Amino acid sequence: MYLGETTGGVPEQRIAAVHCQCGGAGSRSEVEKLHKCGQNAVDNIGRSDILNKGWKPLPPASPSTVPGVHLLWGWLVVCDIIKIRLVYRRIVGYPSSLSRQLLATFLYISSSVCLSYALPVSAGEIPTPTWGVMDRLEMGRDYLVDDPAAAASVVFDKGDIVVGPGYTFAFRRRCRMQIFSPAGYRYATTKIPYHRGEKIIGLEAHTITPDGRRVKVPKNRIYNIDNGRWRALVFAFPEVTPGCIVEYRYELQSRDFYYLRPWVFQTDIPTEHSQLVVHLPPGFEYAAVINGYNSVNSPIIDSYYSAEHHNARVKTFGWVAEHLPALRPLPYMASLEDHRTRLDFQIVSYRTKEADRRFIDSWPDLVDRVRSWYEELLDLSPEVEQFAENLASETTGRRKFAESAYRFCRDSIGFVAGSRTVSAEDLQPICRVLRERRGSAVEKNLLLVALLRWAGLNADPVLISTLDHLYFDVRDHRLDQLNHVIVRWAMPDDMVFLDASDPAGWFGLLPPSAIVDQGIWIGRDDGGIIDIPADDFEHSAQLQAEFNLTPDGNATGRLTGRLTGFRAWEWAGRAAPGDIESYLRSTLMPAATGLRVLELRAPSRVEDGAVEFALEIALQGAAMAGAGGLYFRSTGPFAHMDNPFVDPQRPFPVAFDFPYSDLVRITWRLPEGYTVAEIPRGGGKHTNDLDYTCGIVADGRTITVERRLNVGRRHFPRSAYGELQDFFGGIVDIDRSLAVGIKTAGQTTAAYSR
Amino acid sequence: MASDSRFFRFVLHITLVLNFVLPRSVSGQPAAFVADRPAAEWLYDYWKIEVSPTRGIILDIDRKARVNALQGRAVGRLKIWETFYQSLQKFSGTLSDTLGGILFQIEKADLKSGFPFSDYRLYSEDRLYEVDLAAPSFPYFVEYHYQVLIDNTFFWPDWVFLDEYPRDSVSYTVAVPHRFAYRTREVWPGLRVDTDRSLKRDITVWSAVDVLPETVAGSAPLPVMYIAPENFVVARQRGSTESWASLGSWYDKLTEGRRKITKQQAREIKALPTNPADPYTVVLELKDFVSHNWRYVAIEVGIGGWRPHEAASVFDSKYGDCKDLTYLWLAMLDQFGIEAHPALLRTRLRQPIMADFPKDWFDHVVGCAVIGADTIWADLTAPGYRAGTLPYQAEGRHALVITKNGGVLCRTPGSRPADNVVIRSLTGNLQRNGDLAFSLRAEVTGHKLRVLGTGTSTNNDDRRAAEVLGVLPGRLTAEAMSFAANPDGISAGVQVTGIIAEWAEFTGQRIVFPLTFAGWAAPQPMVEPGDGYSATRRPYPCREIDSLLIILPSGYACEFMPADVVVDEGPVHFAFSSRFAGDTLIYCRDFQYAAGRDQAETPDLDGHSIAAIQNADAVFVRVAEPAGDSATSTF
Repeated sequence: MYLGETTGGVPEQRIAAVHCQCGGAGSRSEVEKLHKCGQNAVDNIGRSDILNKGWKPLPPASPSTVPGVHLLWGWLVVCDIIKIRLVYRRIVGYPSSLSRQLLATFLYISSSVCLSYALPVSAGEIPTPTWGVMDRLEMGRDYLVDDPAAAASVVFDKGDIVVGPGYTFAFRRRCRMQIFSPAGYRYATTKIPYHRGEKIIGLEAHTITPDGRRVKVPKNRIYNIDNGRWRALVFAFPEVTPGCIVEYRYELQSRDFYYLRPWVFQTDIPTEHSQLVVHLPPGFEYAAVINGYNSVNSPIIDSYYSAEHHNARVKTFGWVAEHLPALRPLPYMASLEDHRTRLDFQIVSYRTKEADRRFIDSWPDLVDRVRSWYEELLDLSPEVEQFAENLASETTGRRKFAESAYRFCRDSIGFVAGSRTVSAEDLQPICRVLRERRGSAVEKNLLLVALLRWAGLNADPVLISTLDHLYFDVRDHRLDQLNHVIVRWAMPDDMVFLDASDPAGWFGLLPPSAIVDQGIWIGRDDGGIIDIPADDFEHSAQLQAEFNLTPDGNATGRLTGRLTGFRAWEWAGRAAPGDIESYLRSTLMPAATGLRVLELRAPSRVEDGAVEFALEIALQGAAMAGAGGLYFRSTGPFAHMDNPFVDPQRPFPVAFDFPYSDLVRITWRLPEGYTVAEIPRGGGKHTNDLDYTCGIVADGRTITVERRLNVGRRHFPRSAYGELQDFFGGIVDIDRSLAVGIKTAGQTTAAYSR
Repeated sequence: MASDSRFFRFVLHITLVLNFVLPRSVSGQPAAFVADRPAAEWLYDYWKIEVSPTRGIILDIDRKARVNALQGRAVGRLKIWETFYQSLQKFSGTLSDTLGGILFQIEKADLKSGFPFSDYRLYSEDRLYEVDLAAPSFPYFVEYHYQVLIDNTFFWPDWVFLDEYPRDSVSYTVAVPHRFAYRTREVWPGLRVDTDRSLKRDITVWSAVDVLPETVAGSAPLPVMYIAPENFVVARQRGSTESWASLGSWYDKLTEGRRKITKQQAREIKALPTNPADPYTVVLELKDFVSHNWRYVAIEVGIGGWRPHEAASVFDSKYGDCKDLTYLWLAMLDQFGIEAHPALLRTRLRQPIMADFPKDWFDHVVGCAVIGADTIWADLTAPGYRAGTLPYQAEGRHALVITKNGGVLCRTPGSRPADNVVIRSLTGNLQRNGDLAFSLRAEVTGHKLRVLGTGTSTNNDDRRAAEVLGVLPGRLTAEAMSFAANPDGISAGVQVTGIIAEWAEFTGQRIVFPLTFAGWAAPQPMVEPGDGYSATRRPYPCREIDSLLIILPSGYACEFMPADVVVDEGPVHFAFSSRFAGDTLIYCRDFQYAAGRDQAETPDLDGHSIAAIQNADAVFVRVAEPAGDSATSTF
């Protein structure tokens, strides 16, 4: 939503459609379709779900829901009327005139009305716990009813962002937490970050012990960390014990009113009450974006005349979220930040007597702005031109040049890690990147853009938000949603997207973190939102394993394979046995305990995205041996031993790294003198976008297993969780089934051997 | 013509030879087949120490390595600390390919630094520079040089190998002014020593070539040589490493006055013990009081990394690090006239200190109270350990006890297997769906009790029961649980009834289930970080006695069980036996491990038959007619 007043001359509130964001359901484009104003997102926790769970609530937020107040007020009035009659008669006798009676009645009633307003609960206000005093609901509380495992909770967290007067803003915060167990002590140390241009004043902090004592944090125990641009105040609360309250408040003053601090409602501990109020004087306009809007009320809008703002009429926008569960990571999540309830702001415009300025409020504005930044960075210096000429002299054809330039940026520009940013002020010009042979992920790709442009290719940067970053909502015109730049090369009949920042990547395949639906294209004359098509690579592993079992249960054998797409990408760079062992255990052979790579053939790396390899391997303990029998899982080291989806419920969608299709053919050979006694039947599981088959046949001393597993898409909504759980449960049942070989010749022995 | 033919053959031969010798490359990618080389190998690893009377120590590190595989990338990862006594002066790093081409260069200005804080180490003035020099394609060379200024010789760094990769050439050069006294103790065998004397300096070089460090269990740096100045001044206190007594004296002076508390605090403390007249009661109860009511938070400003905060301020704040909490406890005992001292220990690294080489070895502080002929040790940062017991990292270690007469080196008591015992007796009924309905009684003592926790860490019975059994919490549902600490305070009894889901697999004609629970094979809390998973290795002496009675569904016969065995091998004693009759299986396991953490030869029995039994499954086959469709094909 937009907060504040337009610069169109009319001082009225302009509220656009509320921009809503939730965690992904299906693909991210499907999320957009689902999330229209007022519609609940199916993949977020609804407030009604939480409220039904019986959390211990703070006193009710709205006094209008408390009928007792009205009853009390009414009773006071009745009592007053009776008193009027009694007292008046006693003091003055019978009323001398009706007018005097009426006057006396009015006085008494009005005094009662005033008294009723002195009650602690009044319309429109949310009751807050008293500073420094333990609330009765907090007393004796040592765990949360609905989350007994929580070591602490945020009882109350309130922020006020006051813009102005002038070009400043103040951020006032008060935060109160209750510690339930020693595991929660870590929340009793606090770090308050601030920029070097900002100031923190009025910091107060204390512990309220379970017996109600208040113990302050001494000023000399508050330490300042100075790390250049960013600083922080850190301190530890004293006398922290289970059941205590830790509370602090401060004011941060800043001249950077362009950047209002985001407000995070939800953390890794439960939050009972969190609210933010933004105070806007006339002339300022911001866009506010809520992530997890189902958990946050629509903003409460009010206004007042502010002495601080020279009696200007200041509008307030307040958001409240209550009873938020702890946000904890789960397996197969794209990013925890997708699901965090939070509020972000971006300045749209401001108009004062001195200045009238409009910022970005549309994508064309943002494209123009970024284009002007990047044009400077992409400026071709003689050094870059000379390099490009040298590169061109070694290649023939535009495509070859493009591939060479890509490989150079990928392999020969050292990667400098750091926080990802697309903002020009944090980026180096490409001439420096080339000269120093190092750059950030974004800088490597900008260099690639420059080289391709030098060759006359239609190459442009595209801003995206990687999968581990915030979800990119095109309705939210904020640059800080985007954290990476890839390259778009447009040809008359084709379009290629490139990312030279990943050392494992290859030409034409974006790394998994960059597989997103949309980005912002920054063309030389044009730009805007573009769709980024899914790659047409097949991500697969085709493996052939031949194992020769020994009577002691070990196995040696050969493993050959062809990996394509991201399966090959995962392999990249692995050249030593130890590297390959760790790759196999973590991806294709999760049950491969005792795996050793004895010998490997040089893997061939083909630029069309495939890796072929051949290994001689040993598997210690491939089978249990004893009593004349060999017992082993038919799928051996490739078996899925555990269902990854064990929680009965899952609050978030499921996101695999990429869709994949794996085929494994395993041949087991029993030792001489053994024969196959039993094999599992195998089976299959099929559902939408999920397919698994396992066929097992035996012939003499040989068992052959063919197993296919297809995961057809990346994202599965929460509603599909049960299906996933059942599917993988079925896989585990089949994978873990046993094959048995028994010794046919000689005497069996009961002695154990391995 | 003949010469042309010979020339042609010569060129052909050379080409063929080069074809096999030179690295292959497909589509511009270097061949990465390096199976016959280690993941990394150091060409040189040089340390140079120059001692300056005015500046302190100037340390120069020069290293160059060839990285052959992904695992070897770690050689390019550096962590360089800046502390109150140490600052980074210079840094330069280069990545190059095998043809000598520079891929990447970095200088000090390019390094990012940060403040290494956690929830427990809240604040110090330290900064950490982290560098990651890595190239995308193998092999490549990483080379770096950095210089650090250490303004006090007390913090002279020992010579260590930070990894186990082979080294072609290593050296440690020390240049000191004449008459500057220092001591060394070589650990690595076969070091060559060369000395030289110049006008102003005595120079000594220790060196070696073709060094093959062998991995020591754990991730500790490998010591090559220990070194210490004979005399030093820290925080204006003079000290000496001539003897433990002198080193102890220095520390005593450094911490003078830190045991003071206010009169009000003294009054509160005197009211705490239930029997102030009994010193044992006082020691025990005050130790518990501090450990349970003060939390660990480290705040180190300047010499604060060495000197504790005043006991009075620690008393008020209710937090502190190991030395803060220890000095608080000592201050409390002072109120009752009980003799007590701080003791410095080395706990983080596995290698013990050398008793005949006094130097700064230490990373932890505990306390010891002396009552008559008894010494009672206490680790104030470990709430699970009562006074008189120590965490296993502190057991059996050299400790420098600080007294008014100087330091006294002694050893903390170790523990025996009988001190760390778990006895579990389980009765279970195997359901047809693979779940095991069970009832368990257990007695636990010593470190085992700490593994279980004292029951205060969670209110969730499922989790606590899972800890007792060592199974994954998600698979166990505790229907009833009681946990009772015994009056001796060092043992506890546990009773649990519940269900373990999917404990057995019904696969075709067979039932397969583990003989031991996951935790019995290798309880995770018992394995030291860096030691890796081990089915049999333990960081401390222990004994586990388990007896299980499992009732199986009818109609099954035993097809596979390990044979009865008794093994006595070094510090390990293991016995296993089983019986099956009708539908009842009984088996017992007795595992005892008598080796301690300090033992140089800690046997690895992972490949031993003991490990195999611990990891084995039992197999029962159906002998009655199947009730329905079989999920298997039989032959």
